[in-house]
Amino acid sequence: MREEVVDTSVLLAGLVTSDETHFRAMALIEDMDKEELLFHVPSLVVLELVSVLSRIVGVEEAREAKGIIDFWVDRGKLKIHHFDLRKMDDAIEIALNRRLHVADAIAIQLAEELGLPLVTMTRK
Amino acid sequence: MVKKDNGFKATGLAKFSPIGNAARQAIVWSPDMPAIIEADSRLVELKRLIEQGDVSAANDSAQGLLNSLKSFDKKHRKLLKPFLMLLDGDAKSVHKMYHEAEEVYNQVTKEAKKAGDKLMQSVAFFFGGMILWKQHKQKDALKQIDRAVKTNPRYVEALINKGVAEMELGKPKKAIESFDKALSVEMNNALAWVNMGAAYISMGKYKDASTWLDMAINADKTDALANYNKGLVLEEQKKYDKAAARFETAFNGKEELPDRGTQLYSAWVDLMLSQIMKLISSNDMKKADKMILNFKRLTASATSDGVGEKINGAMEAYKSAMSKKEREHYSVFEYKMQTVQDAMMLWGSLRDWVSKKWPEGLSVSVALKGER
Repeated sequence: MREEVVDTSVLLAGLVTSDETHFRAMALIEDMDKEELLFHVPSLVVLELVSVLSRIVGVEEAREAKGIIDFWVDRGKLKIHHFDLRKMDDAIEIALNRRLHVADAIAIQLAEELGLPLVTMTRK
Repeated sequence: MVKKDNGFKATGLAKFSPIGNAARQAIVWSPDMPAIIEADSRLVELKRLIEQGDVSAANDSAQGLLNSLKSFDKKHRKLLKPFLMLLDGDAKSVHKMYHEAEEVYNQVTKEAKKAGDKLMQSVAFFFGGMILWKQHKQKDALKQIDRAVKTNPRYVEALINKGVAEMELGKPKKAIESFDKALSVEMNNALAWVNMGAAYISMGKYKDASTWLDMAINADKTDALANYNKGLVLEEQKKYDKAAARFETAFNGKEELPDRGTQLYSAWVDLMLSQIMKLISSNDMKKADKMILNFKRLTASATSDGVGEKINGAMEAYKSAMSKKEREHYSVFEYKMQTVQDAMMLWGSLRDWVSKKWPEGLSVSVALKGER
């Protein structure tokens, strides 16, 4: 099974059909659901997804998204990595060296730590 | 389709609530009142209270001014009297003293006539009619509203409400005439368009209904009443998916509907369940599962919106009207409601919903920038 770190843009693009990256994101999500690909995500990704959805679409949709992610987590298809002080120190260095947003620094930190590719749908 | 005891009808809306609004409308219509008000600081203050919607305070002030009517310019007194009295009618309406309010508005019609202000008189006729409507005296209400539009043929609010009253009395052709008159005064009145659509539905003229409803939806995609009525049209035309989508759009504006969405939810539940039953009976379980998931999600969302009882009531009504064969299929549906859990189906269903509500032109990348 392939393993990749994904950021919020992958999950969000998988919900927005009008986005140009939607089909690419859906292909990854389908692979994950079929257990051909294991998603690693920082816990911030879940928070960010829920926050964007609740702000732009609605609270119910945000809760629904969280419920589906929990479902994937329960079945071992998606692994959530929690943040701690060590990860924070590493992410701070990444943010300072590359002048990145916090969410990007955290995703890169996890990818580097796990030695896995980072998949994103945003151009950075 | 189970519709024997649970028929849904097109809904028209009388938007212009009578509660506490007569004095405000009199200021709009009466040709002389604005100048009279501007000339006296006490009346300016009264107007401020009216505009704030503080009917009780406005009425207290108005009663004081009525008692000191002699302190006003003699030529203004005749006109001020009915205007100040209107506030008494408004306050009584707000406090649900409908009979008393009705009497006050009747007196105002006479005083306004004495003062030679036909437009203020039409306002009093209209609000007197609306008070009768509140008391479910539709026929008397219609007579009174009719007097309002005869006195002031450009009174759009009264024309629309007259049409709605006519619809409620089972006279859709008359209603269409009233909405037509309203549109001849104000051609872009979306409320008149929707009501026109509702009247055509009740006559079974779905193409005509669609034309008017589409105009309203084009003006405001979220218009709950227009979307609900359009859903009814599409259902009659057997375009079930599109009908369900219209009903679902109307959910967001259920508060705008005259019954706060009871009919809307009944119509939606009836449509969804009948479609699910069809899929189960034809053993198309893949499609049935997808639809059940969608139903599950929307009912959960509706329940958290505080309309769970409406959904449950509608489901009970559906169940009670089912045949024996349908009951077997309903058991399958109930089992599926408990058990169907497929993440990709849930995701697909969530995706449809998110995409429907996602702002046009907003990319994921820009949305995330807003978050960071």
